[in-house]
Amino acid sequence: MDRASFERFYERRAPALRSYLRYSCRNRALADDLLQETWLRLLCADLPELEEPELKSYLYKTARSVMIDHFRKTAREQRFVDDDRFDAALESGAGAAQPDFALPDDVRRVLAELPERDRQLLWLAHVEGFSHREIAPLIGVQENSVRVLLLRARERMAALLEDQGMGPEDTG
Amino acid sequence: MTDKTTVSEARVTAFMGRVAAACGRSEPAPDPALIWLKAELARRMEGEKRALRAELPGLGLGAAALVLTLLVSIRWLAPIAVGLGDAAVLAGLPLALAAPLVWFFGFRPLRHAR
Repeated sequence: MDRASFERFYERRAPALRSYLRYSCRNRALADDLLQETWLRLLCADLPELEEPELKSYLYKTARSVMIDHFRKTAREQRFVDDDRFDAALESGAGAAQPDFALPDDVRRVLAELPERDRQLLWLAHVEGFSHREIAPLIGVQENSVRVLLLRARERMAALLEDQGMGPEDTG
Repeated sequence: MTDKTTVSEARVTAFMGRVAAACGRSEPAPDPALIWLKAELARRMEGEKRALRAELPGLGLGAAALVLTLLVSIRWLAPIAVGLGDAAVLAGLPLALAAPLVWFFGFRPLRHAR
């Protein structure tokens, strides 16, 4: 990929990717670091010429593996910390990924009730507009399962929105 | 698709749109120049490493050297163990002899003197 085509692709995709990373790790600074790492990996990968939809799919796959690597590394580092100090840090909330940007309370309540996979599925399908085929490798399931999982996730979220008393006029 | 499903799907889409806006989806991304520069440096370093490896093919024999070292270690393990055992015996022998002598000529007369 030459510089001009990289910059064009970046301009189109980076804001969306950054919001996906913020949504997934709920930390603004960390999301920015992971965003940079994702693009670096993409640029250093020995890729054949890809069309934009394939490249977009590859970009999100890379972002997900960068995130997983980061959380694995963090977990490994925490194992080296003395247990007492680790417990104290947990109590005080230090070192945990605290949300540093404000999601409205009602939104946070709904998202907190959903399992991680549902949150990912709903973002990829409803915000990014990925097809079932594109979502499948991203969350590690078969293409056929995506339809069922997505339907259930959507039902769960609709029920939560109903419970929270959020009608169509509140969600939009 | 039933009407109810369509309504809940539309509601979920609207809600996720609100979440995306709160996550800064419309904010401009940081300048890509730094990322391009970093990637350029990483690619150049990788290229230089590859060139160095091509110039020094002997460095590729790391695995063979490791196996050879292992074999030599195993070959010498037995003589080294025997040598260490002998050394231990030789070093321990004077002590083993000295201990009864010290007791016989040192502590025993003192006990009898009391």
